[in-house]
Amino acid sequence: MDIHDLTAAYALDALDADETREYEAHLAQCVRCRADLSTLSESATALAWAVDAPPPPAS
Amino acid sequence: MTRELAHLSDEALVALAARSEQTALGELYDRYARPAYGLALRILRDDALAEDAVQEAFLSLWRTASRFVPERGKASTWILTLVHRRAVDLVRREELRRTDQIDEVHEPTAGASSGADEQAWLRLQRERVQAALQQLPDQQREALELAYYGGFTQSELAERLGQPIGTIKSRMFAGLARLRELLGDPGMETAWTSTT
Repeated sequence: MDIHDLTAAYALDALDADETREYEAHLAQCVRCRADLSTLSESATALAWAVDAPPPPAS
Repeated sequence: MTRELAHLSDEALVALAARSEQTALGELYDRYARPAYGLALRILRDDALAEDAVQEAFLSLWRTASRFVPERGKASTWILTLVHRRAVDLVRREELRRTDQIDEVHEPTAGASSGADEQAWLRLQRERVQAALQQLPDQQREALELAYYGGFTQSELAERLGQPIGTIKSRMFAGLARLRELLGDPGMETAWTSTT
């Protein structure tokens, strides 16, 4: 498995704990993955804006 | 102070929070608590857990603000990423995922969000992203939604959908890339607002 291919899954938080650790260790050393992640995270976060946004309960 | 902060970019507020300026954190909370809570609730489907996820995410923001790198992305993306990660951690721990409810995103729940009191820009943003999602090929949309809203890992998705993991990875990547094309470059204007 090419670890570069995990960037989209990481952007979606779709890696398990072991894969996440492995990928983050790789990320620290890989310029390409950091650039890809920046782009893919923006796209993944678009999904956050697609949900209903009720006000949080007053607390 | 609050009025003054209202004019600052998200990125400038994060920089202030990194210097332990509590009012900056408060301003960021005011701006993002609502989408953050909506996202956490979508994943966790439980009011109290969603609140926990949001509180913990903002606590994490406060503690790690100095590590935020504006060149790598918008502050809003970072904040919602923190919320998403926390909510996914919680849903996996609590095993709250209910597979029968995962496909709800395109069917607005009546009454859940009476548009009346909702900020107009939130609604516009939601409609825009939902429209883009609708244009994705079904398999790509399914992979993105199960991962992002369902909290499933790629391995769980492969098993659930009966596909090789490589196929799942391809669908997630292609879906995100297509989504980016469909949405253009939202928020590039804020990317120009640099921090000091």
